[in-house]
Amino acid sequence: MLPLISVDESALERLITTYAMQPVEAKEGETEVTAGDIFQKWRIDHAVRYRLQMIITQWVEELTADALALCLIGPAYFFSFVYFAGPFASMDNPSYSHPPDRMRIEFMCDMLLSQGDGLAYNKVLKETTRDYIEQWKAYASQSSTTTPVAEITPYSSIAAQAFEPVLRKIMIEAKSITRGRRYTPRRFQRDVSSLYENLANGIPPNEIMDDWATGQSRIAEAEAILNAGWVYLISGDDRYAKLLDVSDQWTVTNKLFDLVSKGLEYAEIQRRWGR
Amino acid sequence: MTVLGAKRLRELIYHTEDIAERLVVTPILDQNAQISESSAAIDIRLGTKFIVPQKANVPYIDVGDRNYLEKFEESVDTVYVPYGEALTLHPGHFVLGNSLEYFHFPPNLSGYVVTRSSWGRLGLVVATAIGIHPGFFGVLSLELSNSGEVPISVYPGLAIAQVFFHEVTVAPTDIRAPSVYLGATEVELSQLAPHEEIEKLKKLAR
Repeated sequence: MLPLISVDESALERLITTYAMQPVEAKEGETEVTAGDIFQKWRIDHAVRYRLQMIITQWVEELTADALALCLIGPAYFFSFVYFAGPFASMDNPSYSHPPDRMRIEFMCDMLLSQGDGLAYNKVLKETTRDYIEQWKAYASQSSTTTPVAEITPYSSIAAQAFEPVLRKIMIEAKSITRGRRYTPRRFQRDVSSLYENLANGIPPNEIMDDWATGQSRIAEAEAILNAGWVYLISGDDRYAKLLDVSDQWTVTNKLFDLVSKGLEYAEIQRRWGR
Repeated sequence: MTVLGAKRLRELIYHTEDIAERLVVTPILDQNAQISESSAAIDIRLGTKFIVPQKANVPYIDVGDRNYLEKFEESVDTVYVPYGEALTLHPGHFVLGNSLEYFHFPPNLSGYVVTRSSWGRLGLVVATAIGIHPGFFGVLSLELSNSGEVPISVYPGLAIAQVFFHEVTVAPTDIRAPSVYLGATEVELSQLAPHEEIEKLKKLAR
């Protein structure tokens, strides 16, 4: 489904030449290999291209998984990523299996906020939530301030450049694959503010009252519960902390996680009971 | 003292949009059975987590010992019993459990937890510390004790107790629930810490 990914051939050639010029220690009983030897260069050329291909393939998988998660869960996936992946030892240090977090964060921010190919959440997010994502996007789009130390460094810039034209295609395909099962901005807008108020008042976010006159309620979707939890956490709203009479942010955050978990548990119990 | 009937309880739960005045009891899995029209209480179900003291590891509980809570915590087991399975209480056995339901009391309501009589007749006492203050929110701790002569199996998810609700005639802003157990989402150990008071009591004796 994705287009062929082309790498910068001249940069790749320079990398191969650099490796080929490094002296290679001969094993016992073998003739010493001369740097710059044609056969040696051919072998390195093959090995470097193979390794780069493997890296790009795994990075595509990883970025596609990010895109699918955003489609299925919404902004909650991004919020949990930046919360739990901190303090970003891998911000500028990619691995063979994972692209640098800087690339993933910028990609996810783009996908959440942009219109058309993106998910267009900017229309439904409250200002504080939108600002939070935009701040991450601005931070991620800055160039690295530290020197990467990972072994993969020589490959990463070539791989990263190759991704530029592919990222938008990944967004489009992820949206297409999840059509019908996507957690949409419309569903986010319909449910999250009501569940947010539950959390602010110390109530598990498992039910949404649609009509107070008739008492008609509905069980909250897991995606809505997760999104409400993260939106509340990053909002800076301190109503729940005041209710608990607790000023320690760590305790309040853990209590909030417990409340969100309770909401998920209750919603699931209600769903199964209803069946 | 006014005890609220089923109709008023349903109004407070299902038809009160203002969160400051709403009574929250969730999840109510079977409205007709749990808030029966002929009753003046809400039936509550047993949760899945229990704190079980290990008799062999606790010589005694001395609340005057500043470290008693830590010692006590080390001598209890937290047990998870899935729905459909049972926890067996032997005669004299005491465990802490919690309600399946989560409550949020408005500032003008208080409540009392009482064992359902059908269980009481088997020898089970569900709640020994039964008062719920206005403004409380969280799951309710249930102190389960078998005061009968034969072992009793209790099943998480079954209605085991009931809560009666009373209106409180104090201005809502004057009320604040005690905060020690606020917001509990599962059973918690006692937080009793009367050391300073015991020191004062010792001074009285001098």
